[in-house]
Formats: sequence, structure tokens, C-alpha cells
Amino acid sequence: MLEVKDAVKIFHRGTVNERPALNGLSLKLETGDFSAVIGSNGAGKSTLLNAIAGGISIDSGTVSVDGHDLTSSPTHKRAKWVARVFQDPLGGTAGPMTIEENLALAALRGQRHSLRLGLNSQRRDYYRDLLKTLGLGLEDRLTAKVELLSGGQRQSLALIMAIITEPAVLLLDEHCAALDPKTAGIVMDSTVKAIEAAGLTTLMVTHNMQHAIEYGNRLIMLEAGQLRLEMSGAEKTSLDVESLVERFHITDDKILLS
Amino acid sequence: MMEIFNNFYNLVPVTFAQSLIYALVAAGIMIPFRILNFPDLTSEGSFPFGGAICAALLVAGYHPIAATLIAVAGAFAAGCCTAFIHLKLKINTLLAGILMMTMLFSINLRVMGKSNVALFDTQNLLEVVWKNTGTELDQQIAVFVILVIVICLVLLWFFKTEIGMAMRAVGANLNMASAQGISTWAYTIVGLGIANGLNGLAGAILVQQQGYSDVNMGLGILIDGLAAVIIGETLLGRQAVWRQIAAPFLGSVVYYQLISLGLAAGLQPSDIKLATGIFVLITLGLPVLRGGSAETMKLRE
Repeated sequence: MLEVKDAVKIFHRGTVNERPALNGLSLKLETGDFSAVIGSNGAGKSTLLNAIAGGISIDSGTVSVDGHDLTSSPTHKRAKWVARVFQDPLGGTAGPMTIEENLALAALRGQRHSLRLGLNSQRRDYYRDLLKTLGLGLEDRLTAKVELLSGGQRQSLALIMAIITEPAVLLLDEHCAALDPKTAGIVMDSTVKAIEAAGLTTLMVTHNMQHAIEYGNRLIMLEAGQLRLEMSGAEKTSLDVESLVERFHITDDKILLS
Repeated sequence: MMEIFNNFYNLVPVTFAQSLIYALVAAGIMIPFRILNFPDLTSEGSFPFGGAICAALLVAGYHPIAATLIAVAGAFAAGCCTAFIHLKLKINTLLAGILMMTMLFSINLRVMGKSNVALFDTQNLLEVVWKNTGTELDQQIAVFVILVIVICLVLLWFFKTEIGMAMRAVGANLNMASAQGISTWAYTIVGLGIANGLNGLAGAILVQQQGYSDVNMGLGILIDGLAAVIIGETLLGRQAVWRQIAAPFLGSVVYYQLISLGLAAGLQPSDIKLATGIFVLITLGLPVLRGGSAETMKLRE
């Protein structure tokens, strides 16, 4: 369960550039909820994700996961509960390290690192099985450096890394936006399969209206740092792009074009 | 020509012994530069710092092993300080290192009480190992070879452990590391500590081998170490972790023989730093001049 209460974040406070990114935003996801987050540029989507993951600290309000108050925890402490796939395929993986090393680090998320060897045959077998689910052939390239992979492969690996510990909250930050449409489709399919298989509580920021409608049981729209609208269940299922655009008076070009 | 070769040949063992000590410095420079992505200049201060602590303690009557270990601890702390200055005060990595090495110069003078300390009548590490007084060159080499191999193997093992892998992740991608629950602060601080601990160990061993400590003994050590790392990487590559870790050790052995060859061929000792500097410039700059990217030196600021 993820709960954000009265979150306020104002950038450049007290200057002419003062800009409220989160303006008393409250949000609650029950365990197993899969919610898409839409909103125009500057609506506060990225700030919200950063506030949950720990990249920025909010000025007031609270962030809690499964009853743990994470408001003042640094990113690496939140990692025990919160996993994230970045928009940039280079962001969520360590390029100079091998596929298996990246997976080992992800699998250790939230645990104490020890002076035991990071890899052994048992762990490798486990990683191989996980990578097989992607169907990209990565299971045969465990010792390849991640920087040699394509953007789509790298993002798929980042996804596996994010879900390997079955995090209490999964954050997807436009994780398909930097990929070509075909690859984006493949990564999105793997994402949905993985989320449904593990019943992960997920917040997915997207600019793709079709994805927002198609996937997840909830839909949230942000505007000016506040929750503008949310829908779930049957209401969401009956939605199509046109009615969504109409209802939300979406005028943002980037949203309409995607 | 024959004379040059003879001069060089006669010096090979002496140079080899020295290059093994300096291999520890090269490793202490490789770890921040290549693994942590943190261009650390502290070595110019932490290397003589190790030497100064060791010399002062030996004169004060400490056992050589205790003196050496305390020297390592001191240099470790110096490395931690550089990392802390960068992380806490947001000071550029290079500037943090320069600040630290500059301050260490004064500290080294304080520790020794004067600019150089002779160690004539104190026992040293080599004499402890061989249980005698005054050691032959081959005995020195035997000790250094074993020491260097052990340290190289320990580093190889360390960077394959969970903690070592986490440290490499911090150098590879800070965002990814913290997203995987790794404290980038803790690992940067400890990583720089380990690296400078190696520098301090080299300083401590060198003063015991040569029988004196001098406050200026760190001058130019960074570029020497960097040159050794580059040579090692050219010979071994960087594609696997073991290659990256073995590179400074092999590179140091080769580099100091090259310097020795240069000296035998008539290069003035005072010109060595210029020659080394030009060498490092060329190896780092060549890919850029060829139109490639400066891939070799993309580092944290």
C-alpha cells in the first residue's frame, strides 16, 4: 500500500522562478493497484515519482509504504520497498557491469551486502530463468556487459531488476517513451505480465493515452501539482482515447500526438 | 649501445623491487579513477603521509608491523576525508583531492618534525620477515612479490563480493546504485579510504626499504601511477574485472623498467616528469585528436 498525504514541493521558493510542482497532493494505492498517471508537462508527474522514490524531499506532507513512513529516508533506504524503472534505458542499469552482476545487485536490494561472492551457480540459474520470460535471448548472455545491449534489451533488463525483489511499490517513469514503437510494445507486454503475475502495486507515468486506458485498474490525472481526476473499475474500462481527451479537456500536444 | 644495455640490465632487479612498491600506488590510483569514477589526487599526499607516519613511529620505537599498519590507517582516513569533502561540501572531486594533499604536506612535516627522517638504527619490515639485519635485494624482491600478489588477489576477490560489486555500481551509475539500495556516500568514502590505504602502505614500505622518509617523496607520484595504469590497461585491456585490477600491477613493473631504460640511454633524471607527463597526455589525448570521444576519462565532478 502506497500513501502520499498532502505532499507539497515548491521549486525555487522565494524567487521569481517559484514553481509549485506538488501542491498538496494526496494519493492512495491499495496493495495490488496498478495505476496509470497522466498529465501535461509540468503537472508534477516526475516530481511525484521522485518524491516517492526519494530523489527529492518534499517540503511538507508524508510518503508511506505499507505503513512505513519514508518521508525523510534517502533513496537507498527506500529501495527496500520502492523499485523504479527510469525513462532513460541507461538510467536503471550499470553499463560497465555484466547482466548477471546487475541482476545480483538488484536481487540484493534492501538487504545488507556481505563479503560473500556476489555470484554463484544457484543465483545464475535463477537469473537465467527470469531472463527467459523476456524471450530476448538474454539468458544466454549473462556475462555480457550491459552497455553492449540495445535500448530495448537494457530497459527489459531494468524491468526484471525492478521486480526481482517483488517490491511493495513499483514506479514506472515513462519507461517505454525512449524506445521505438515495436520495442516499446514488447517491453510494455513484459511489464504488464510481470505486474499481474506478482500483483505488484504500481504507479506508471505515461504520455501514451492508449497505454493509460488499456493497462491497470486505475487512472490518475495530475494538473498543477494536484490530483485532477481519478477513475477506476468499470468507469475506466469503458474509456476510450476520445472520451478521455474530451473529459479531461486535454490540450497538451504531446499527449494528443502520442 | 652495449654500454647502455649493460647499465640498464644491471639495474633491472633494483628497479623491479621499487616498481613492486609503486605498483601499490598505481592500484591506489586505479581504484578511484577506474572503479569509483572519482579522479582522486589525494595520493600525492597520502603516499608520503604513510611514509611519514611509519618513519615517525619507527623512530619512536614502534614495531615495524605496527608502524606500517598505523600508516595504512592514517592514509585510509585521509582518503575518507577527500571523499567526505566532495560529498558533504559539494566541492569538485579534483579540488577536494588538491585541498587534501596540500593540507597533508603540512601534516607530514608535523608528523616527522622535519623535512626528512633517516631510519638507520631502527628495525624494518624486511628485517622482521627475514629475522636478520640488513637484507639482500633478492630477499626484498621475494617479500615484495608475495605482498603484491596477495594484495592483487585480495582486490580481485573483493571486487567480486557483494560489497565490491556494490562499490563498482557506485562508480558505474550513481542513480542506479542508490535505486538498488546502495549508499553512494558510504561506498565512495570507504572506496577512497581503501585506495589511499594502499598508497599509505606503499609509502610505509618504501621508507623502510630505502631507510629514510622525505616530505617530498610524493611529488609527481600521481602521474607516475596514472602512466603505470595506462600501460597496464594497454597490455591487458579493461574488458574484465581481473584485467582492470591486474593492470596497475603489471603496468607499474613495465613503466619503471621503461624509465630505467630511458635513464640508461641518457635521459636526465630531471626530465623524467616531463617525459611521463607527455606520455600520459598523448595516451589520453590521442583518441580525442583522432576524432573519437574522450571515453577514457569521463569522471565525476
